[in-house]
Amino acid sequence: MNAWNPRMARTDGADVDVETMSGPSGQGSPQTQVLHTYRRPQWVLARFVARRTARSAILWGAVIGLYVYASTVGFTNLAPTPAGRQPFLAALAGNTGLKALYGIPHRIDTVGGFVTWRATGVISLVGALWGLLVATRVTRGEEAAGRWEPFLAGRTTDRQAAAQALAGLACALLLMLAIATAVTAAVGRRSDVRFGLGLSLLFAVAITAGAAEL
Amino acid sequence: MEIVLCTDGLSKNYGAVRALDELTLEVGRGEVLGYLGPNGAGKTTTIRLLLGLITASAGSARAFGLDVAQHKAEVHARLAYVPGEATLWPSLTGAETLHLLASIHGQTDLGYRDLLMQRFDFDPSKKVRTYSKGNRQKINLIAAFSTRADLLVLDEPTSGLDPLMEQAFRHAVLEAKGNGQTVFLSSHILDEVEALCDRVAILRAGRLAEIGTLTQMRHLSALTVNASFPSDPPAVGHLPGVSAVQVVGRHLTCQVIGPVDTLLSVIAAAHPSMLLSREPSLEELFLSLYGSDEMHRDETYGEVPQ
Repeated sequence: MNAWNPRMARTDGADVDVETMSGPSGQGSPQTQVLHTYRRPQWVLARFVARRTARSAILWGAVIGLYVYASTVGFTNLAPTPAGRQPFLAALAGNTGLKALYGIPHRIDTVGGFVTWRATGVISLVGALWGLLVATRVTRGEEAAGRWEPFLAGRTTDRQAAAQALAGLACALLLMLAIATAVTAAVGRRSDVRFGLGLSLLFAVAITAGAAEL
Repeated sequence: MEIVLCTDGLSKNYGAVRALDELTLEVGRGEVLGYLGPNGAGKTTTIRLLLGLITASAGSARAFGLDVAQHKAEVHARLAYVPGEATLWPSLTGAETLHLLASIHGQTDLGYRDLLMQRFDFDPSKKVRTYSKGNRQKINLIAAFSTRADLLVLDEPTSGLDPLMEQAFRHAVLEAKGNGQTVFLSSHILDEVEALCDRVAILRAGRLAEIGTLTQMRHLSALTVNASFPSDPPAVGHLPGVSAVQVVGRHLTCQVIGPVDTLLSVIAAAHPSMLLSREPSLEELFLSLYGSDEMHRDETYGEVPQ
């Protein structure tokens, strides 16, 4: 019996999940059928969307993390003492252009307040654009290109397919959230910053919410 | 015979245009049904209705005894579909695409897939964006046949294939038929339909014009008669059922619909030196069904969306 060839399956794209054999062996025989079944074919679309969007979610999660890191380090390096930062922060708080860009500043004399002020608005906007573009690409874009048809001709319905695509996007978002949280928490471990994991998570949820809204 | 696929008054309107009008047909297990029609006749609309990808305006379609619109997932688990246009994912390789298509379907026969890749002379290691249209179509065909699904729904599957690959395709269809699989083959390649199909359904402006075996259909069309005579050919134009009479020298060509006895007795009385009669090819049947009023249909209905 040599009906199942694992080497061949791996060259195939790596995730034949479960193999079963029905009937006797006979590789390639037109009459003899040796069927290999795949695990949960009804979830293929969700896995596919998650994989296709994961790379850009990781990239943007890292960009968010980098922005938080830069804002935090920038703040703490501004001056060694809180009193020394005051003139600079007062100038920032009074700048109308920055207010229009980042919103009304609250407690920007603390590291948390400053980073929240700098990051929330901008990152939410970037995240929202990312969410809009990615969601449009994997739903309407792929449909218009005719690439949804193979999925819709599979073991699914229109509604299930749409739910799967959203589930795939949700996975990508979670990945982005995890990376943003991890970087924020890592920055928070610095002695002069001290964000807890819970606060980091809350902050990351706030700044990735823009992407999730779409 | 076990009925695998049946439609009952299946209709589809696109606004004011009737793309499919009360289609009623049955396809049995192990049967290959050729589904013929010119562009815009409603072939792809029918297939999309059979797959439940679009909603019928009236009537219903059932596969394996289940309504296709209400039991999509169950029905799709037992069928494989080859779309007319091979739109695949450009960044995946051929092997990755085959794997993805197999995992969407849920099952595949890897050994048979290897065999089909050899027969179709398909190299799966390249990215889809580098494949020609014919090679992309091969991916869909290999993926569909290797599922061993009970029902294969093929929408003009050989567009873009060269004649050698067309042979590989015919081989695979006949193998599927031999295994008891049912094939719904939409095509406008008449040779292919003639070679493969047990029955032929001909669609005209969204309506089923004819359905039956080729033998049954040939009775609907004229028989071509060629005869040569030692002297001038006899006059046959006035005989019942005879048309398209052409006389070139001592050679007569005509067509006859219905009984041929009167024509034969007139020809026999003139002592022919050669007599040849030929059944109409599918192409002649097809042309006789559409004829010149095809132009008129286009003017009347405009372009029917597929």
